[in-house]
Amino acid sequence: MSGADEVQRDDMLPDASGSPPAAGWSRGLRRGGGWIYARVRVYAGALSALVILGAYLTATQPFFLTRANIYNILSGNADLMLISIGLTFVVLSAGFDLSVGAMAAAAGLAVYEVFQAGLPSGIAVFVALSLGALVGGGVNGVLIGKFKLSFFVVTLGMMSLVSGAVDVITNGETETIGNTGFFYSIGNGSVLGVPAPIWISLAALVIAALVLNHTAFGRAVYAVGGNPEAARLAGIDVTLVLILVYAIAGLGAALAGVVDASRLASAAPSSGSSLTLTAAAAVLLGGTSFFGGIGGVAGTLVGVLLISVLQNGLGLMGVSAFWQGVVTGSVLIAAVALDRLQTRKGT
Amino acid sequence: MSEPDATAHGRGALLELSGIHKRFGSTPALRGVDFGVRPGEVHALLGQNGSGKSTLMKVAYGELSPTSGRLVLDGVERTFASPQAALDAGIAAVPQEVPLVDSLSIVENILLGRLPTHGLRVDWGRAKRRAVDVLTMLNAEIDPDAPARRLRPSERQVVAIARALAVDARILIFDEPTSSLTAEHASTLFGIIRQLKERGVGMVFISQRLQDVHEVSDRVTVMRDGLVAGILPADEADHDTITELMIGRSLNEYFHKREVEPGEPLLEVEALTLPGSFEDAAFRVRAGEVVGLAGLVGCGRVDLLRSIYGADHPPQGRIRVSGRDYRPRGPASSVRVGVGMVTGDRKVEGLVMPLSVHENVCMVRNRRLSLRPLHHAADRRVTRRLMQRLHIQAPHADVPVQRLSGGNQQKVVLAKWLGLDMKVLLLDEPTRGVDVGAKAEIYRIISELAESGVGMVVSSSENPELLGICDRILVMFRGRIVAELDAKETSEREVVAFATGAAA
Repeated sequence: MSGADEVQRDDMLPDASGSPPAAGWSRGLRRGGGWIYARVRVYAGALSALVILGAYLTATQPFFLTRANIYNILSGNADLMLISIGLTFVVLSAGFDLSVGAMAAAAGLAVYEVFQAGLPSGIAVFVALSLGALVGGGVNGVLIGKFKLSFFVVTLGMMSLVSGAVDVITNGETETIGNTGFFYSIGNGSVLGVPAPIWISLAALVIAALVLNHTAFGRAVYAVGGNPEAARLAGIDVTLVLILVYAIAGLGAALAGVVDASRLASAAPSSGSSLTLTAAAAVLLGGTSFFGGIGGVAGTLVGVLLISVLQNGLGLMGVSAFWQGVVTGSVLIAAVALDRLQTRKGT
Repeated sequence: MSEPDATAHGRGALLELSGIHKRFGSTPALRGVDFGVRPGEVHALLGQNGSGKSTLMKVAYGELSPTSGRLVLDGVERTFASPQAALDAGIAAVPQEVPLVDSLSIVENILLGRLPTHGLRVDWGRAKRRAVDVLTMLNAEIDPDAPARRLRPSERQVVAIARALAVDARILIFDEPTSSLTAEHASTLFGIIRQLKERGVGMVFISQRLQDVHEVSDRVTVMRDGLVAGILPADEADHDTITELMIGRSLNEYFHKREVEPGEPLLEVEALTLPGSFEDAAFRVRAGEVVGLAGLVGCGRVDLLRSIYGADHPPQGRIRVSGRDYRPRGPASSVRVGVGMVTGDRKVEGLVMPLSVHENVCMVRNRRLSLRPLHHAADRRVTRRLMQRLHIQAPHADVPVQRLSGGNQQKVVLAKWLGLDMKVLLLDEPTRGVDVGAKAEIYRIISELAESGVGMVVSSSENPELLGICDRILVMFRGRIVAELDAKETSEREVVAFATGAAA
């Protein structure tokens, strides 16, 4: 990861002005504007790892860079992308949401139940998304933002509660959803030849980036994550910010659940269980700091792509699926260690 | 231990640094400095940030080696490869933030890394006797078996001093020891320093607070730009002389005292009470007026400011802003009626450290949680203008504020509130921990704000500052406003007398 090394080295040069002289391409970036440099820096390591990995797979696996495979990667990981985008808001606010995976499963189940009641798919999707936003904002967000409970305890409890409830309702069995027009197309349709889940991820990504960078609410998320007391004394409604970020995480999770339910034509109680931690890995790899206030969804995109391409590449190379966890974990720890070294120099 | 010899300069010195030069790359930090400490002497070392005082002391206790120059200890020229080597020779540093192992006992902390052993076994009996000996020497009533986490900040410093005495250090270097202490804890520390003087220990006292210097030191050295700007006996080191030496220019340029004809009453406070903090506060601030709040730490002046701003519990009593009744319900509601607060502790309350200068400057401006697109270009112009107006030194507006110096950070805290048409600004310790250069800038801004008709309340523990920039000074003592003084006619002595309850 030569790119990461570069960033690192330029940060280690001591300079009283606080602006270390940069080397190589990073100097070019800095000249191009501190704004770009400051933003790309946090996920420069993951980005260069992604580029190198992509180049390697392109050279060694003829199937890798085919339209079918790329669509497969992006479409198959739309759920991870959507959960990670929502989670990014929470992590930026210096919190975490352990319940997102369970909420995705619950959203799939909600769709199934509404169908069972004989209502159309538009209503089913609406109910599922509202449920996610309401549980996330109205319960997680209120308990954490208004009553100042620990996000860890609240969302751990919510994870257990939601996945338990899903198990009770389904008896632990996967429910098959009869796929109809609109609902079917969410996970399986395509627009201009590109699968719908990719469009949905892309739309969510663009909206999230616009909100985070170009609205006062978005900037307040960063301020609250970086120093809630300073944000409060500046007149920012910290409680409302926290309620909203957990609502967004719930919404992202519910959307992921809906896309999965449509793609798989079923609602599986265990479907979201591994997603929470993979999404956490993606957000972290993307340079969003677990201490809050640093990062963004551009990094999350890079993190999700890195994990997705890694898993796809291991599959193409015929490496056992069991190894994928080992590799993902190693990359994550390496990335966080690099990040740690970087921030230590920065302060 | 040699006898105190305060008569001869140079001769009889315990530690003597001469002609010290230190360069970092091409930047000279020290340009030929002479400095000495005699036995039983407290030598205060003052200077702005970047004047070289910390660098000089790092040379003295072995943290840095000088580019050139001599270090003579007890008449023998020495070079120290590390702080450990300096400590073994009897030179110990007491840092600003004392690093103790919170989970270990006081005994273990005092003898950290040098517990007496009996074969392989730690000799706890001897360890405890040694620790108790030095604590007794310091008249410290600290339970040696308690874990260090229970210590108060001043006690942590006592333990750090005990650690130095346990290895028979004869020179102690204090780096801004009072900056994290309350007035009461600081006076405990001064008591210990006086005892150490009698034992012949030589001490260097780095500080930005002039009161501290008068309290304990014998000699004062002021540094500026890597050189010694002046050495004088402590009793000649008055505020004005020292400040002029530190900044290298005259005081008239320092406090930008302007004359403003006060206008309408903007903030009126009557019978304001917050049980346990302050009682029955009443005062009035008119447009263009700067009202000072003086008093010891804990007298309630910070709580008074914070509760007017609505930062904590709502107070009882009556507040009027521009003649309209106002009940503070929270910072957001205060900002809406035009009351802003420049908070005291910039790391805790003032700044979001990982965010950029630009983000912090625009934080109050963009406080409303709207989903409408921000006006990036306009915000950028505001930031650029404010950075110029306050001379905020940063490579660019997108640098995280944590990379700025304390003075520049404080200017960012102030910048948040400028250009928002605030009627009243409440300032809590607006110049805490910043060097005199930055102080001068902040005074200039306060003066400009007054000229533009803002009413201000400034709470400060630095009385000369209040005398320099305020029109009136309210002195608080145990939660009550006990005096209202005209800044032009009163003196520091009078303010202190009211603040300590000596005059009533």
